[in-house]
Amino acid sequence: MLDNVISLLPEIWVALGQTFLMVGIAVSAAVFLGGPLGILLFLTGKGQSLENRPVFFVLDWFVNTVRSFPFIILLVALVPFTRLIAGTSIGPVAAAIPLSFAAIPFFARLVEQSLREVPRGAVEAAHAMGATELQIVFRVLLVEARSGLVLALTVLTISFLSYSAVAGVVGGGGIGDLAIRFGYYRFQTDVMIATVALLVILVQIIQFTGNRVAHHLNKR
Amino acid sequence: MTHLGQVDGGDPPPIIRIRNVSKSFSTPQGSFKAVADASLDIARGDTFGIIGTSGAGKSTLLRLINLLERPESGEVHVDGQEVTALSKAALRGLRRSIGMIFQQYNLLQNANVADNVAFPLRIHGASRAEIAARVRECLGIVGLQDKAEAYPAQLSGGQKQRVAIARALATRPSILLCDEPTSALDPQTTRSVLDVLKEVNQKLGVTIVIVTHEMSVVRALCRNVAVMEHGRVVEQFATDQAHGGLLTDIAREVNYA
Repeated sequence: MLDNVISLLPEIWVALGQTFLMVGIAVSAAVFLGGPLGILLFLTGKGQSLENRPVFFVLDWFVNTVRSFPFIILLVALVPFTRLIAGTSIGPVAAAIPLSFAAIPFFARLVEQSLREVPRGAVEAAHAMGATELQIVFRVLLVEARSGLVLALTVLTISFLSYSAVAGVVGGGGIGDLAIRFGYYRFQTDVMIATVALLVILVQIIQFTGNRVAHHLNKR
Repeated sequence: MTHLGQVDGGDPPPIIRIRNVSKSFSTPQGSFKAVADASLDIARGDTFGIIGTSGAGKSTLLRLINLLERPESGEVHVDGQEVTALSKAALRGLRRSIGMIFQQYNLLQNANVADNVAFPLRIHGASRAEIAARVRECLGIVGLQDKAEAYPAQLSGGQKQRVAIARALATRPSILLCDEPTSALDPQTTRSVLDVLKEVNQKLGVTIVIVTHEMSVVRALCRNVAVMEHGRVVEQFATDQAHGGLLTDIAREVNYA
């Protein structure tokens, strides 16, 4: 009954590695580029210390626009850009480019939302003590919002684990792609079940870890 | 250095001098004038109360002193410096010498007591050893040495406010601005916080400016009082002198109770 799964075992391992590679690149890009973007989005928003309507409008519009694309369309539309960056448009690294492109505004929005939860008074007190904007970001906003940010990272990771399945369209590989190619197109139900089960386990682990870390960081 | 006018009667110049400041806020109902042409002198070492009904502009006036709010017109001088004319960096420097506490304490919830008190020292680049010593010292002043490792969520309201005072004192300010510091506290806790503030004033010589609507706080702490109504300073008096001619009900309440 598990014949197909057993014969596919080496491929499953490769696929798992591809998934980790794609999601890892996308999540890293989201944290290092989307994170600052989200902070800027928050700080330039109405009533915040760097309030700037034109800048906020542009950032807000960019985030909304990229997020409105169905991922598969973004994937195809970005092929020339992907070629420019990765040198090829196929394979897991190439697939990580559009994934990153989608993950950056997604995470930026989550970061902005988390920062909004920080009480204004804490920021105001820091201003009264003579803190610079950068000090307020690193010593007040990120500290007070840290458990929300960890949960945001958890949501991001799980969403892009799921998005990465679509990357199969450009030969990105990964677990989701395996499920589609063997489980779906070739009617190998056992492969389908095994891969989906693998994804279920991965999601459970990510969410459990995220919850634990967030709880540990929250001293409120 | 810009010094305003001449000093009258040989008194030392006031540590805080507010001249004709105005501040309005835009609301959905239109513009609201929170402070209108208010002037005030506060002497070095004083305990100065700003009282009035809610919405009279007391908190806004207090926040104009360290420029948490920027006045539309008028001047604010602190220690002889015209604060509205300062550069961003110079203003941050000045804010080191002006501590502030709030009704809602405004502590970092995810930082323990010691880290909260260390905050102003860290942002101004103090050394580790300096910070450790000063944190211990400040927690000693407010009587919370044993709570250094606790998080704010584990403390009572009065303890949180004392942590906030310790934090405000960390950079050795010459002025402490207090925005309704006891309004969220019960009478006993209020007394313990006021005792700390009194000690800060008497032993450390810190000038205290306190906004409150509680008459008991004014009586317990303040030597001088300004009454605000509709954004204006309508009356000013010393609490240790009997005044027959006080205009406002609120001033008479403080003086005769």
